[in-house]
Amino acid sequence: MNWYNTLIKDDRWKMYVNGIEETIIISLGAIAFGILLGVIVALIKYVNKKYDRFKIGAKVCDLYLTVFRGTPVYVQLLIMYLVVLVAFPTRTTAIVTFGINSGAYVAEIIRGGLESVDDGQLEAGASLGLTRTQVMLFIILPQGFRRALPALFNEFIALIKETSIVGTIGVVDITKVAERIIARTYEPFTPYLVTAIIYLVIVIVLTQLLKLLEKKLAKGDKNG
Amino acid sequence: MKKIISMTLAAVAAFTALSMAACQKDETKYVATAISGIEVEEYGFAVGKNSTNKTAILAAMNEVISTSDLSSIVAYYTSVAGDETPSVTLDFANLDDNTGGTLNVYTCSGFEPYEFVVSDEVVGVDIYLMELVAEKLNMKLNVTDMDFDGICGKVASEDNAVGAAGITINDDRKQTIDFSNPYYNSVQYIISKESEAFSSLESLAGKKIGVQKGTTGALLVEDAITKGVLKDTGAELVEYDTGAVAYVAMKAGKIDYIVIDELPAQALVKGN
Repeated sequence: MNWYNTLIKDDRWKMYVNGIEETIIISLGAIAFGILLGVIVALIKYVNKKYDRFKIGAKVCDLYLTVFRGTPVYVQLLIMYLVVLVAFPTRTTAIVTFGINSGAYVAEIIRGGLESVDDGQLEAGASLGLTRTQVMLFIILPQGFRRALPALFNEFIALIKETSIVGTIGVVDITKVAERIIARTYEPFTPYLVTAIIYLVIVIVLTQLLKLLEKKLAKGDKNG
Repeated sequence: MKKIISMTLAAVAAFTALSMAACQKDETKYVATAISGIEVEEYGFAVGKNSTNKTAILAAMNEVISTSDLSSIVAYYTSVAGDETPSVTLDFANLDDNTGGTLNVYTCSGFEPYEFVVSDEVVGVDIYLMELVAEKLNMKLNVTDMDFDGICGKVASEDNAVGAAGITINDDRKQTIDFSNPYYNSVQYIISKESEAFSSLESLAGKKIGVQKGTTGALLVEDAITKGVLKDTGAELVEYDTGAVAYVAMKAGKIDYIVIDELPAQALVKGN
């Protein structure tokens, strides 16, 4: 254990600060991208099932889900970095890759939420004179999304921890910071310990925030 | 908030207790010894074969290599890596006013004195020379610190990207990338316990040998195990992301020896 060499010498704590920034930016970016993609894919698949539309779209979505859930995110990251998104900045590559990967899981989680909404509501919406789009956006999606929340939170937490592999493609996140410090001090325990604690704190804080959000959304539910 | 703090503290306490139990003083001294009877290798800077500005970049590299006092630069960064005050001074490039775009340089830190990290910044012989190249090209510099085994692939696929990571010039790599003139000659070293100080691969029979992924040392040991002097001896190749991680693994008893380039080997054992 050598706290001085790990944190104080050469201002190494600043490396951790930058690393935290990098980890959080990539995680949030990927979560936002993943939700957007996931909701679109889930809606296409749901509408395809209920109204038999978007046949080609649903096939494309199935292919996307199969490929991105069926291959390791590490391999996806390397392919994106070295082949597909060569001209993009490294951080963008990381956000896009984790976003697309996460989107596949988010899509299935949200589709599960949508399908848990009773079919009767589709008919009720139609009988009130709402269009299919209105029924989707104002009746099914809000309810389905809320029911999917706990599973979504799990996905976000997993995603944050998954970003620890971005060091491979040259993003200096909190895991890579530990490796860089070890490369100078030859003492592995303290740097990895600090990294582990930072992940833990990020996840605990996020869990608490999400619990609050869940409570808030549950309140509205009692009346409805 | 209280809950968060107390949970964090509990986690820290648990980790600390674990570490106390696992902590053991490692007083073993290690030495680096040149492997005798193998070819001398040459380092070069890499550019993708199909890069649009390949000729200009290679010309700037070769000019920097031929006009720089390379031994002083190596001496300077060897001192910096060892936390000593350098006895020589260098003229650093000022790239702030350069307007000709950005030169993307890919490297892999943990390879002292060529590339290592000081205060969150990658520095070293390779990076210094790249600054001079960028100055010649009127470009800014953007250094990305990634895994060594991906660098050649990245440089081959990205237009006008440059690899500066103590890359040994060899025919396999020449298939996809072009090299500058050589700027340093190196041989492979074995890091072993002081009492052993081995200088031949044969001595490593049956042991676990650590290397940095994708390096010349890794190829050398792999060849020795699959078809050379270490064939059927039970010797095992263990690959790490950087030489520094391999060294930490050796101190922890995970591997018995390391095969790595000359200067990084010497820098590693200096960190004893």
